[in-house]
Amino acid sequence: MMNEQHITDQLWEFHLGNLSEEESQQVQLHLEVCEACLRESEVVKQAVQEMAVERSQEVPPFLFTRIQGRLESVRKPAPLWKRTLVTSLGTILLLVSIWGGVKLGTMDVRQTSGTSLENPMGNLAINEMVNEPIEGYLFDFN
Amino acid sequence: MDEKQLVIDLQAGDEKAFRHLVGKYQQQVFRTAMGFVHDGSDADDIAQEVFVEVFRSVDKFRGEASLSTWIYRMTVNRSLNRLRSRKRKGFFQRIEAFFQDDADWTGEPEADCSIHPETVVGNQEMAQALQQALESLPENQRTAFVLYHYEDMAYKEIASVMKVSLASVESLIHRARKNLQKKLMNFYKK
Ligand SMILES: [Zn+2]
Repeated sequence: MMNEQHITDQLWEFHLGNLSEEESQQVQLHLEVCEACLRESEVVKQAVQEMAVERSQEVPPFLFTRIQGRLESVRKPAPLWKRTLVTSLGTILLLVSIWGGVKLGTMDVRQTSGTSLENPMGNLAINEMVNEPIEGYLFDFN
Repeated sequence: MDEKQLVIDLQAGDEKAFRHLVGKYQQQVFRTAMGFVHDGSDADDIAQEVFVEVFRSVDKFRGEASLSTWIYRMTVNRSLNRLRSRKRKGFFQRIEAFFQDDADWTGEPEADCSIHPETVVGNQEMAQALQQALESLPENQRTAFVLYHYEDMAYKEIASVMKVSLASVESLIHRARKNLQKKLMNFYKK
Protein backbone atom coordinates (compact mmCIF):
# COMPACT_ATOMS: atom_id res chain seq x y z
CA MET A 1 0.00 0.00 0.00
CA MET A 2 1.25 3.47 -0.91
CA ASN A 3 0.73 6.37 1.39
CA GLU A 4 3.09 8.73 -0.37
CA GLN A 5 2.20 11.00 -3.24
CA HIS A 6 2.66 9.42 -6.66
CA ILE A 7 5.44 10.88 -8.75
CA THR A 8 4.02 10.60 -12.28
CA ASP A 9 4.35 14.36 -12.81
CA GLN A 10 8.08 14.19 -12.34
CA LEU A 11 8.80 11.26 -14.62
CA TRP A 12 9.79 13.22 -17.75
CA GLU A 13 12.23 15.46 -15.94
CA PHE A 14 13.51 12.44 -14.03
CA HIS A 15 14.34 10.54 -17.21
CA LEU A 16 15.71 13.65 -18.88
CA GLY A 17 18.10 13.96 -15.94
CA ASN A 18 16.82 17.41 -15.04
CA LEU A 19 15.96 16.76 -11.37
CA SER A 20 18.18 17.67 -8.49
CA GLU A 21 19.93 14.81 -6.74
CA GLU A 22 17.50 14.97 -3.85
CA GLU A 23 14.41 15.00 -6.07
CA SER A 24 15.81 12.23 -8.17
CA GLN A 25 16.44 10.10 -5.09
CA GLN A 26 12.87 10.62 -3.91
CA VAL A 27 11.54 9.48 -7.26
CA GLN A 28 13.77 6.44 -7.19
CA LEU A 29 12.67 5.49 -3.69
CA HIS A 30 9.04 5.80 -4.70
CA LEU A 31 9.56 3.66 -7.79
CA GLU A 32 10.92 0.88 -5.60
CA VAL A 33 7.65 0.61 -3.73
CA CYS A 34 4.96 1.72 -6.20
CA GLU A 35 4.25 -0.58 -9.07
CA ALA A 36 1.84 1.80 -10.81
CA CYS A 37 4.40 4.57 -10.99
CA LEU A 38 7.11 2.10 -12.00
CA ARG A 39 5.04 0.95 -14.98
CA GLU A 40 4.44 4.51 -16.04
CA SER A 41 8.09 5.29 -15.51
CA GLU A 42 9.11 2.54 -17.94
CA VAL A 43 6.83 3.97 -20.61
CA VAL A 44 8.15 7.50 -20.17
CA LYS A 45 11.71 6.19 -20.17
CA GLN A 46 11.17 4.47 -23.51
CA ALA A 47 9.56 7.56 -24.97
CA VAL A 48 12.48 9.72 -23.83
CA GLN A 49 14.93 7.22 -25.32
CA GLU A 50 13.03 7.16 -28.60
CA MET A 51 13.06 10.94 -28.79
CA ALA A 52 16.81 10.93 -28.16
CA VAL A 53 17.25 8.65 -31.18
CA GLU A 54 15.23 11.01 -33.38
CA ARG A 55 17.05 14.04 -32.05
CA SER A 56 20.41 12.55 -32.84
CA GLN A 57 19.62 12.21 -36.53
CA GLU A 58 21.84 14.51 -38.58
CA VAL A 59 20.53 16.72 -41.32
CA PRO A 60 21.39 15.06 -44.67
CA PRO A 61 24.55 16.56 -46.22
CA PHE A 62 24.57 19.31 -48.89
CA LEU A 63 21.42 21.00 -47.64
CA PHE A 64 22.68 24.34 -48.92
CA THR A 65 23.12 22.94 -52.43
CA ARG A 66 19.56 21.60 -52.41
CA ILE A 67 18.23 24.95 -51.24
CA GLN A 68 20.18 26.69 -53.99
CA GLY A 69 18.69 24.28 -56.50
CA ARG A 70 15.20 25.15 -55.32
CA LEU A 71 15.84 28.86 -55.47
CA GLU A 72 17.30 28.64 -58.97
CA SER A 73 14.49 26.53 -60.33
CA VAL A 74 12.06 29.24 -59.25
CA ARG A 75 14.14 32.24 -60.21
CA LYS A 76 15.43 31.03 -63.60
CA PRO A 77 12.92 31.89 -66.35
CA ALA A 78 12.16 29.29 -69.01
CA PRO A 79 14.37 29.51 -72.12
CA LEU A 80 13.36 32.03 -74.79
CA TRP A 81 12.24 29.42 -77.35
CA LYS A 82 9.94 27.85 -74.77
CA ARG A 83 8.33 31.14 -73.82
CA THR A 84 7.88 32.11 -77.51
CA LEU A 85 6.33 28.74 -78.30
CA VAL A 86 3.90 28.91 -75.39
CA THR A 87 2.87 32.50 -76.25
CA SER A 88 2.36 31.69 -79.95
CA LEU A 89 0.34 28.58 -79.23
CA GLY A 90 -1.81 30.53 -76.79
CA THR A 91 -2.42 33.29 -79.32
CA ILE A 92 -3.30 30.80 -82.09
CA LEU A 93 -5.70 29.00 -79.78
CA LEU A 94 -7.35 32.28 -78.82
CA LEU A 95 -7.73 33.41 -82.45
CA VAL A 96 -9.18 30.04 -83.46
CA SER A 97 -11.72 30.22 -80.62
CA ILE A 98 -12.76 33.77 -81.55
CA TRP A 99 -13.09 32.81 -85.23
CA GLY A 100 -15.10 29.73 -84.30
CA GLY A 101 -17.35 31.77 -82.05
CA VAL A 102 -18.00 34.39 -84.74
CA LYS A 103 -18.70 31.67 -87.31
CA LEU A 104 -21.13 29.92 -84.99
CA GLY A 105 -22.87 33.16 -84.10
CA THR A 106 -23.47 34.25 -87.69
CA MET A 107 -24.54 30.81 -88.88
CA ASP A 108 -28.06 30.72 -90.37
CA VAL A 109 -29.74 28.03 -88.39
CA ARG A 110 -32.61 27.40 -90.78
CA GLN A 111 -30.33 26.97 -93.78
CA THR A 112 -27.74 24.72 -92.20
CA SER A 113 -30.17 22.43 -90.52
CA GLY A 114 -30.66 19.36 -92.62
CA THR A 115 -32.27 17.39 -89.85
CA SER A 116 -35.37 19.45 -89.35
CA LEU A 117 -37.66 16.54 -90.07
CA GLU A 118 -36.02 14.06 -87.74
CA ASN A 119 -35.49 16.52 -84.93
CA PRO A 120 -37.94 19.38 -84.94
CA MET A 121 -37.44 20.08 -81.22
CA GLY A 122 -33.74 20.76 -81.73
CA ASN A 123 -34.50 23.46 -84.23
CA LEU A 124 -37.16 24.95 -82.05
CA ALA A 125 -34.73 25.39 -79.20
CA ILE A 126 -32.14 27.10 -81.39
CA ASN A 127 -34.74 29.32 -83.01
CA GLU A 128 -35.99 30.43 -79.63
CA MET A 129 -32.49 31.53 -78.73
CA VAL A 130 -32.31 33.58 -81.89
CA ASN A 131 -35.54 35.38 -81.10
CA GLU A 132 -34.96 35.85 -77.39
CA PRO A 133 -31.61 37.33 -76.32
CA ILE A 134 -29.78 34.93 -74.01
CA GLU A 135 -29.14 37.68 -71.41
CA GLY A 136 -32.90 38.06 -71.09
CA TYR A 137 -33.38 34.85 -69.15
CA LEU A 138 -29.92 34.52 -67.66
CA PHE A 139 -30.32 37.58 -65.48
CA ASP A 140 -34.06 37.58 -64.97
CA PHE A 141 -34.26 35.78 -61.63
CA ASN A 142 -37.50 37.31 -60.49
CA MET B 1 29.09 37.25 -37.09
CA ASP B 2 26.51 38.96 -34.90
CA GLU B 3 22.83 38.63 -35.72
CA LYS B 4 22.28 42.26 -36.69
CA GLN B 5 25.09 42.16 -39.22
CA LEU B 6 23.90 38.80 -40.50
CA VAL B 7 20.43 40.23 -41.16
CA ILE B 8 21.89 43.27 -42.92
CA ASP B 9 24.02 41.03 -45.13
CA LEU B 10 21.08 38.72 -45.84
CA GLN B 11 18.90 41.65 -46.80
CA ALA B 12 21.64 42.81 -49.14
CA GLY B 13 21.44 39.40 -50.85
CA ASP B 14 24.90 38.25 -49.73
CA GLU B 15 25.23 34.57 -50.59
CA LYS B 16 27.98 34.04 -48.03
CA ALA B 17 25.67 35.29 -45.30
CA PHE B 18 22.93 32.97 -46.46
CA ARG B 19 25.33 30.04 -46.47
CA HIS B 20 26.38 30.98 -42.95
CA LEU B 21 22.74 31.17 -41.83
CA VAL B 22 21.95 27.73 -43.25
CA GLY B 23 25.02 26.23 -41.58
CA LYS B 24 24.11 27.83 -38.28
CA TYR B 25 20.46 26.84 -38.13
CA GLN B 26 20.10 23.73 -40.30
CA GLN B 27 20.40 21.21 -37.48
CA GLN B 28 17.86 23.04 -35.32
CA VAL B 29 15.39 23.35 -38.14
CA PHE B 30 15.82 19.71 -39.11
CA ARG B 31 15.52 18.45 -35.53
CA THR B 32 12.40 20.50 -34.84
CA ALA B 33 10.79 19.24 -38.04
CA MET B 34 11.74 15.69 -37.02
CA GLY B 35 9.85 16.19 -33.77
CA PHE B 36 6.73 16.80 -35.79
CA VAL B 37 7.02 14.57 -38.84
CA HIS B 38 9.31 11.76 -37.56
CA ASP B 39 10.69 11.16 -41.03
CA GLY B 40 14.15 12.19 -42.21
CA SER B 41 13.23 12.91 -45.79
CA ASP B 42 10.16 14.95 -44.85
CA ALA B 43 12.19 16.87 -42.28
CA ASP B 44 14.85 17.55 -44.92
CA ASP B 45 12.18 18.80 -47.29
CA ILE B 46 10.75 21.09 -44.61
CA ALA B 47 14.24 22.42 -43.85
CA GLN B 48 14.66 23.34 -47.53
CA GLU B 49 11.27 25.04 -47.60
CA VAL B 50 12.07 27.00 -44.44
CA PHE B 51 15.36 28.35 -45.77
CA VAL B 52 13.84 29.21 -49.14
CA GLU B 53 11.17 31.14 -47.24
CA VAL B 54 13.83 32.84 -45.12
CA PHE B 55 15.69 33.85 -48.27
CA ARG B 56 12.57 35.25 -49.89
CA SER B 57 11.15 37.08 -46.92
CA VAL B 58 14.23 38.31 -45.06
CA ASP B 59 13.49 41.76 -46.50
CA LYS B 60 10.40 41.86 -44.33
CA PHE B 61 12.28 40.84 -41.19
CA ARG B 62 12.04 43.81 -38.82
CA GLY B 63 13.78 42.29 -35.83
CA GLU B 64 10.76 42.29 -33.50
CA ALA B 65 11.72 38.72 -32.59
CA SER B 66 15.17 37.22 -32.82
CA LEU B 67 16.23 35.59 -36.06
CA SER B 68 16.15 32.17 -34.46
CA THR B 69 12.62 32.71 -33.08
CA TRP B 70 11.52 33.79 -36.55
CA ILE B 71 13.07 30.69 -38.13
CA TYR B 72 11.58 28.38 -35.48
CA ARG B 73 8.16 29.88 -36.13
CA MET B 74 8.47 29.12 -39.83
CA THR B 75 9.63 25.59 -39.06
CA VAL B 76 6.69 24.93 -36.76
CA ASN B 77 4.22 26.30 -39.30
CA ARG B 78 5.70 24.32 -42.17
CA SER B 79 5.76 21.14 -40.07
CA LEU B 80 2.16 21.51 -38.96
CA ASN B 81 1.12 22.17 -42.55
CA ARG B 82 2.92 19.03 -43.63
CA LEU B 83 1.07 16.99 -41.02
CA ARG B 84 -2.26 18.49 -42.04
CA SER B 85 -1.70 17.60 -45.67
CA ARG B 86 -0.55 14.12 -44.64
CA LYS B 87 -3.80 13.71 -42.73
CA ARG B 88 -5.83 14.85 -45.73
CA LYS B 89 -3.89 12.44 -47.94
CA GLY B 90 -4.49 9.65 -45.44
CA PHE B 91 -8.19 10.39 -45.46
CA PHE B 92 -8.41 10.16 -49.26
CA GLN B 93 -6.25 7.05 -49.27
CA ARG B 94 -8.65 5.40 -46.84
CA ILE B 95 -11.59 6.36 -49.03
CA GLU B 96 -9.73 4.89 -51.98
CA ALA B 97 -9.04 1.72 -50.01
CA PHE B 98 -12.69 1.55 -49.10
CA PHE B 99 -13.69 1.43 -52.75
CA GLN B 100 -10.94 -1.00 -53.62
CA ASP B 101 -11.35 -3.44 -50.79
CA ASP B 102 -14.03 -3.25 -48.12
CA ALA B 103 -12.04 -5.44 -45.76
CA ASP B 104 -9.48 -2.67 -45.18
CA TRP B 105 -12.05 -0.17 -44.07
CA THR B 106 -12.34 0.20 -40.33
CA GLY B 107 -13.78 3.69 -40.21
CA GLU B 108 -11.40 4.36 -37.33
CA PRO B 109 -8.91 7.23 -37.35
CA GLU B 110 -5.47 6.26 -38.57
CA ALA B 111 -4.00 6.51 -35.10
CA ASP B 112 -5.86 3.43 -34.02
CA CYS B 113 -5.35 1.20 -37.04
CA SER B 114 -1.79 0.00 -37.14
CA ILE B 115 -0.69 -0.73 -33.59
CA HIS B 116 -1.09 -4.27 -32.38
CA PRO B 117 -0.50 -4.04 -28.65
CA GLU B 118 -0.40 -7.77 -28.13
CA THR B 119 2.94 -7.94 -29.92
CA VAL B 120 6.03 -7.39 -27.83
CA VAL B 121 6.83 -3.71 -27.74
CA GLY B 122 10.16 -3.17 -29.44
CA ASN B 123 11.84 0.03 -30.53
CA GLN B 124 9.90 0.14 -33.75
CA GLU B 125 6.57 -0.19 -31.98
CA MET B 126 7.55 2.38 -29.39
CA ALA B 127 8.52 4.81 -32.13
CA GLN B 128 5.18 4.28 -33.81
CA ALA B 129 3.21 4.51 -30.58
CA LEU B 130 4.97 7.73 -29.60
CA GLN B 131 4.47 9.22 -33.03
CA GLN B 132 0.77 8.45 -33.03
CA ALA B 133 0.33 9.66 -29.49
CA LEU B 134 2.08 12.92 -30.38
CA GLU B 135 -0.02 13.33 -33.50
CA SER B 136 -3.19 12.97 -31.49
CA LEU B 137 -2.27 15.95 -29.29
CA PRO B 138 -3.77 19.36 -29.99
CA GLU B 139 -1.37 21.41 -32.12
CA ASN B 140 -0.43 23.89 -29.39
CA GLN B 141 0.40 21.13 -26.88
CA ARG B 142 2.40 19.29 -29.51
CA THR B 143 4.33 22.41 -30.49
CA ALA B 144 5.26 23.27 -26.91
CA PHE B 145 6.22 19.65 -26.24
CA VAL B 146 8.37 19.31 -29.36
CA LEU B 147 10.21 22.59 -28.79
CA TYR B 148 10.96 21.57 -25.22
CA HIS B 149 11.81 17.92 -25.75
CA TYR B 150 13.46 18.00 -29.17
CA GLU B 151 15.07 21.42 -29.01
CA ASP B 152 15.80 21.77 -25.30
CA MET B 153 14.28 25.20 -25.51
CA ALA B 154 13.64 27.25 -22.40
CA TYR B 155 10.01 28.02 -21.58
CA LYS B 156 10.67 31.70 -22.28
CA GLU B 157 11.91 30.98 -25.80
CA ILE B 158 8.98 28.67 -26.47
CA ALA B 159 6.64 31.41 -25.31
CA SER B 160 8.15 33.83 -27.77
CA VAL B 161 8.04 31.33 -30.68
CA MET B 162 4.41 30.49 -29.93
CA LYS B 163 3.45 34.06 -28.97
CA VAL B 164 1.87 32.91 -25.71
CA SER B 165 2.58 33.59 -22.04
CA LEU B 166 5.10 31.69 -19.95
CA ALA B 167 2.27 30.23 -17.86
CA SER B 168 0.58 28.94 -21.00
CA VAL B 169 3.75 27.16 -22.10
CA GLU B 170 4.05 25.53 -18.70
CA SER B 171 0.46 24.38 -18.82
CA LEU B 172 0.71 23.18 -22.43
CA ILE B 173 3.76 21.06 -21.70
CA HIS B 174 2.18 19.67 -18.55
CA ARG B 175 -1.00 18.71 -20.40
CA ALA B 176 0.93 17.30 -23.34
CA ARG B 177 2.93 15.05 -21.01
CA LYS B 178 -0.16 13.91 -19.14
CA ASN B 179 -1.96 13.12 -22.38
CA LEU B 180 1.04 11.28 -23.79
CA GLN B 181 1.46 9.23 -20.62
CA LYS B 182 -2.19 8.30 -20.73
CA LYS B 183 -2.11 7.32 -24.39
CA LEU B 184 1.12 5.37 -24.10
CA MET B 185 -0.10 3.59 -20.96
CA ASN B 186 -3.29 2.59 -22.78
CA PHE B 187 -1.18 1.28 -25.58
CA TYR B 188 0.83 -0.92 -23.23
CA LYS B 189 -2.14 -2.06 -21.17
CA LYS B 190 -4.07 -3.53 -24.10
ZN1 LIG C 1 3.19 5.84 -7.18
